[in-house]
Amino acid sequence: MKEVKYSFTRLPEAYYYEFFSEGPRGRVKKIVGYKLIEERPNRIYNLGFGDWDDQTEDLNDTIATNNHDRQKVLATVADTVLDFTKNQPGASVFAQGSTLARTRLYQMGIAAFWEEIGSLFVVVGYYDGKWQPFEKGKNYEAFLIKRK
Amino acid sequence: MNNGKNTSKLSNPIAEREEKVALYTKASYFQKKDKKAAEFLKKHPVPAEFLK
Repeated sequence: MKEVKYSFTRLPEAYYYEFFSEGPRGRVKKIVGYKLIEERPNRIYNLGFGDWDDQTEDLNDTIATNNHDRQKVLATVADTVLDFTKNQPGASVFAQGSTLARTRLYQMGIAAFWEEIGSLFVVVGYYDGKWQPFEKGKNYEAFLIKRK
Repeated sequence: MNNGKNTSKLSNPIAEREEKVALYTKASYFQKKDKKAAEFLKKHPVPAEFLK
């Protein structure tokens, strides 16, 4: 990915990635996690992503960080998908936001980097009661991404 | 004395990573989200043609 992005730390033992968003709201720790949710007939990992809260020791994906770096953050998350799928050949990644707005954010991320994502991955979305190939401009309920 | 933990973290990056993994794995966010995702896929399975 050519876009400006943050560098991340990979915790390979459990497929977690950490990076820090930096902007007017300060330095905010972001976590991306991939968890195996279906093993057969195909391995499907669930993508989780949000701000780490040291006080609650939990992730929050319902707040807007407002660090004026949305594209950079999305590019970094996309970069973790590239890294993860490179290390997990044959695996698919399922992505669904905790809220419709969050799912829409994922959709914006896919659309923004479609030129590169579309050439490397098969992306399908759940829309109108069925899974179908990703198209820009549709509001999907969930996504599944797999390397070609 | 409460320095032991921090000292060992600084001198042992593997232990620090393991601690982080344990912390993130405990996060209820992932547990809830993974359960919701598994339920969604059970209800709306992805056609095999997209998973080949």
